[in-house]
Amino acid sequence: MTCRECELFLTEDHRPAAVQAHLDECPDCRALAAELEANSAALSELRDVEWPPEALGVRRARQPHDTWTRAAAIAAMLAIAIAAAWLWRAQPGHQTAPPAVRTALVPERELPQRGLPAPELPDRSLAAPVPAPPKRDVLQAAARNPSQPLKIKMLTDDPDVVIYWLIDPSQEE
Amino acid sequence: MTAGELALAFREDSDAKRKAFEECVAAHGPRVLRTAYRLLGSRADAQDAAQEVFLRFFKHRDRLEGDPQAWLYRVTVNVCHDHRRRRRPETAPEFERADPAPGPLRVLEMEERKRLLIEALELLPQRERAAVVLRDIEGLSTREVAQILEVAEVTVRSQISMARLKLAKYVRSRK
Repeated sequence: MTCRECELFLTEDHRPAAVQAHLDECPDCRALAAELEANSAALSELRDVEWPPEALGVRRARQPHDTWTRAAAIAAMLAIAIAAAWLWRAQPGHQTAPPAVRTALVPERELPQRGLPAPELPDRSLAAPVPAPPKRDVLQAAARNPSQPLKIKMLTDDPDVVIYWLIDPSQEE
Repeated sequence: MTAGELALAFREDSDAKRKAFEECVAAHGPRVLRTAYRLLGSRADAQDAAQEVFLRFFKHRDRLEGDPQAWLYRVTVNVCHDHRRRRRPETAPEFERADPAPGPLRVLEMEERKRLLIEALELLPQRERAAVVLRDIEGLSTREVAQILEVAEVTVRSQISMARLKLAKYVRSRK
């Protein structure tokens, strides 16, 4: 076998037995055989190339854990939306809680009578909150005139809602 | 089909079809990228080529049956051939940098050999390069390579044999 013939066989995947006999005698062909084997190992290592996931610019297949990630993201967005709505509604201009109730003692003659129009309320926008009188003072006043029942007028932010509270001092004890 | 048309078609696809396409890209994407990289010698060019391959795959997805691996390899080789024809000739191949940390001499020798082989691959004729990339880097059988390149097995054996000999001679001459 000549070196040229050996060269051609060395590059094949399967080598005949005659090639090994030539290699035992020819240092040049042995060196070439070693070179080819080293190249083969190096070429197979060229397969190991790292690519970033976005290399293809196409969405990857959804993995099972993506469902949980999406659910968590939706839950977080809902929580943020609820918190934002709560903060918005808590602002003074957007109060929708039950109207605050102000109370005031009023003379009996101001009590609305059946069939009569209700007393006119002060302008809501101008009305300063009327502090509720201490119940003890009211009772003391009632004690000075036990024959007259106590009337407590409760004003609300809604001008259409007025609450009158009648107290019988004799039942207080 | 442009990327925009792909996006539109992708949205209009049924969930099952979309899922199948995504799974195909996930399964074969690295292989296509790797092959394109070894055929083109540039990551950016390989990414372009791989996108082109999957655009074509998407376009023909309804006509393909079974495992698309051989089809994807064939299209990758063809796309890379087209890409090389269009590419400016002065484009130099890229090399992975060896780990800068000091290591055994063998590791350094291997890194140097790989660098020389990448350089030598660029010098091979197109068909020989495709054959050796598919056979020696991708690890496909001679029969598979012949099917992908649509040539006879004997032709592939001859191309691989010639390519290996040229690579060996190139590496020896640079050492």
